[in-house]
Amino acid sequence: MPVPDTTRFLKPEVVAKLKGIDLKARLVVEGFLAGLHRSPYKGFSVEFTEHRPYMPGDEPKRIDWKVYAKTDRFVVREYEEETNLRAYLVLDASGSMAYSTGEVSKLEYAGMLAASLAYLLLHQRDSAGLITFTDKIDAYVPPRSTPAHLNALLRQLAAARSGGDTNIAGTFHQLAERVKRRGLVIIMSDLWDDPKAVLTALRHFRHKKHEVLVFHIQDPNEREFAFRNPVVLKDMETGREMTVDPRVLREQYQKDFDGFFATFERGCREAAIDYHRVTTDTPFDRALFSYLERRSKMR
Amino acid sequence: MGFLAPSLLPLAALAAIPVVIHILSRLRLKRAEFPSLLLLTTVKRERFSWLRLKELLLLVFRTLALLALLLALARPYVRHRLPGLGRTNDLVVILDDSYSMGRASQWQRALAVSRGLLSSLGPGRRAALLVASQAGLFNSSLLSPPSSFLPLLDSLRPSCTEAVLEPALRRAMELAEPAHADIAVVTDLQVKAVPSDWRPPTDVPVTLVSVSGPNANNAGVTRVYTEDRFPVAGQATRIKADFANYGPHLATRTAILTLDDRREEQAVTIKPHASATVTFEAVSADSGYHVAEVELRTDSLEADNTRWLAFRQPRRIPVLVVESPAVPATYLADALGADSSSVFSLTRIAAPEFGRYDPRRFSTVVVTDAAALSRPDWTRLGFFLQSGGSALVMFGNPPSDSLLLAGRIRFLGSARPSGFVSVASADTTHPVLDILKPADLSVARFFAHARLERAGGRVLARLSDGEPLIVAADDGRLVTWAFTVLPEFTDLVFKAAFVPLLHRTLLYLAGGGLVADYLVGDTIRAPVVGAGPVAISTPDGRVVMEPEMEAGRPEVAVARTGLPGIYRVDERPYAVNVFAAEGDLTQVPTGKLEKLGYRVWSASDSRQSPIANRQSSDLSPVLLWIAALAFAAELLLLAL
Repeated sequence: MPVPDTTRFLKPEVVAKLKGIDLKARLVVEGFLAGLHRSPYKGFSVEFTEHRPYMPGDEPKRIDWKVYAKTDRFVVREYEEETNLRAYLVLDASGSMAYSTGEVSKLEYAGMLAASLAYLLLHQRDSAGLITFTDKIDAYVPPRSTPAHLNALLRQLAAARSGGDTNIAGTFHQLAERVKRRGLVIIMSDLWDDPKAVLTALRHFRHKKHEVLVFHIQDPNEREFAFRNPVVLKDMETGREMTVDPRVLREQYQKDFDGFFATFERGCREAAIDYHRVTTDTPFDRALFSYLERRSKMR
Repeated sequence: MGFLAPSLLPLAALAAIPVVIHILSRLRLKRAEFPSLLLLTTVKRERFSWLRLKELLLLVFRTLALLALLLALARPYVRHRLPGLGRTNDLVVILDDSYSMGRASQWQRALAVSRGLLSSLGPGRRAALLVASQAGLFNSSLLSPPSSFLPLLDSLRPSCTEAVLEPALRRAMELAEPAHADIAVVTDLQVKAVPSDWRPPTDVPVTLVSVSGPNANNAGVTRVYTEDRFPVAGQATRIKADFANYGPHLATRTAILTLDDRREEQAVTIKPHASATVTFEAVSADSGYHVAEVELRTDSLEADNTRWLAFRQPRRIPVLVVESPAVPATYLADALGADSSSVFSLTRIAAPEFGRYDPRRFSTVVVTDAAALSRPDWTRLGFFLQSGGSALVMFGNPPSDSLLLAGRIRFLGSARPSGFVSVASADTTHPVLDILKPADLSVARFFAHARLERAGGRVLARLSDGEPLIVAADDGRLVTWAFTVLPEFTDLVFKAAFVPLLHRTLLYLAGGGLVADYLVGDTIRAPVVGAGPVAISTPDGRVVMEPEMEAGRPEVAVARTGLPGIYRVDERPYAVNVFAAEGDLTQVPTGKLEKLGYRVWSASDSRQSPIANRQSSDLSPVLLWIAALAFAAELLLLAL
């Protein structure tokens, strides 16, 4: 009997057609978990499945010493997960996040990703909180691990609307000071701000002993700059207008654009921050894998 | 600079299309939202200057390419030699064939100069030959080779017309401008030949080639006329002739009159640059048409040495006087001398009887009171005028209609000034008044008069209140008096001027003695009797013509008379003469001509003709190169 291909439900354009963010999150996570059994990322499952003999290269901390005491054999536990993770989902709802050239805007994508992560986190009995911001913190839902908390998170996510200016660095500093208990800060933003200031703010999280996972979300056209003729562009946050000839600017713009990302990538690497560049057509499983990868490192 | 195809010049406006598109595209730019202009601000700042420059250069090169291409279509040229572009110009030759060119060997010199100009053009060049008197009639295009005009030159003779170069110059300009040809006018540079109020365009050089020798003594007959303006049969009239000496020396010549078959000679001496009048002794008293020919012997220019006069001496002039009880014709009849010695034969009738008379038996109808005629009477009078008759209409009582004779007379009302008005001005150049002085009329007082509108005629006298007093129709067949001959209206009937005024008016209307003096080139329009073929004799032969109906009466038209002399239509003579002033050989100063923009060259000048081998340069290839280079530059910029 053929196994149904559930990965198609991880494509943003498919998920976006569903109504209700809870359904979307559920679809993404269930589809993700179903696909995980066939994936090379088996090690990141959330439930204990079996013991296996210790192999050179396995981390010694994963050896099950109880079994060793009883059987005098080294075995390692697979897929054991922890329940005390405190995750902060930080969602950028500034004006630029409303940009969309496909079926999904950046904010919608980030919302669905946040919902999926919340679903997954709570499914693993971790605590999940939510912060939405523009040029300031707009909403703050403290982390909880109860299943009923999911509804609160999803309601808040569904209510998130893009608009206004952005002040990423300032908001991050504010947030870093506000969140007292260390945890995993998952940032979903297009990071359209001064890279230097943003990186400083991200380092502020690290300084507060937080683990940081950054999903740098972009629309494909932001890099492609696929305008054919001269056009008047309006900044979605500041409202400023600029006449540009894309045929002439495109090449340099793309070069600068890549440099912009490279700056973040390099800065995050130096600060031991997980940085992932995703576009709104990136399937959600890649983002979830990124999360699990980070989650596994935190054991 | 000029253009060979100026009609295509407006196409150059299409070169504005790139600019218009550029502006429109700027105005109609698409607007779009973008997440952040953070990076674009930096990029644009770096690329802005070059972009603007590139955009500007593209626009300039594109517009330049298009402009150069479109201008090349209009084929611009400059009138000087540019390296690699020069070529010898085409040439339009105008030959002044006025009769003054026939003096001595001047005509032969003109032909020789014309031949030389045409022969000097290089191979492949084109030429046109225009004869001044017939400009536009033939040879109206540039032909190659120029030598094809040489046989035509040999067949030309001086015409008997005056020199009017302007039509020929205009025609030549039409030929020369599109072909950037030069214009050469072979002429004797008579003062009146060169139009002083017409300047040649700066882009077409007009060279006046003078073929005249030194000023020669020329004298001619300028006018032949009867001693009496209106000769009548039975009253002997003598012939007079005016002569002019245009030269700087005293002229002593013999003047010969031939009147019908009689001949008379008189010696005449004319001072330099002066005129003289001779009255011949021979008289004419018989009724009918007479022909006089006056010849002045002799000098180097023959055309103006002879002049003709045709005139008529009527036996008696039948006049029909239509009077009313209110305005009897008593004063009128007294003034016209109703006896056997009078030249007028009066028939007086009361106005109601007008319908029973055939007015065509009379030369002229006199209406003493316009109010006395009924509408059918006016209609009848109108037909009479149309069939060649004439009328004198006087206004006494106000008529019932304001428009009379189909609008030829417009009655605006009556005026009865307090006291009187008198004549304020009189046109004594008109034949009706030319024997009077304004003072002769101004002594008369007018106590009442009609107010008339000029209605296309000529006002011969005007009253001090500004109203017209005497109006003559342009065709010479109707004279209107705003008064009638009663002492209640005017005391003119008691003044000395009254009788001559009345006589001249009726003689003028009857046409006695006045036979139009035609000039060579005019068309003679002669009324004839009946619709059958009419024999016409001219100075160079006889022709038979079918009359045409004109204004209800048959007439023949002898078009464009070519020779001076006597033309007879149905045995009625018409004199055709040359334009007297053409005999004045005074030349216009070359300095004045050069100020007007002409180039002047004397054929006797030993230097090379300024016309020969004149060159101009076609700029089209240069423009095409510019277009190609601009196009290439545009492509290069696009590739950058």
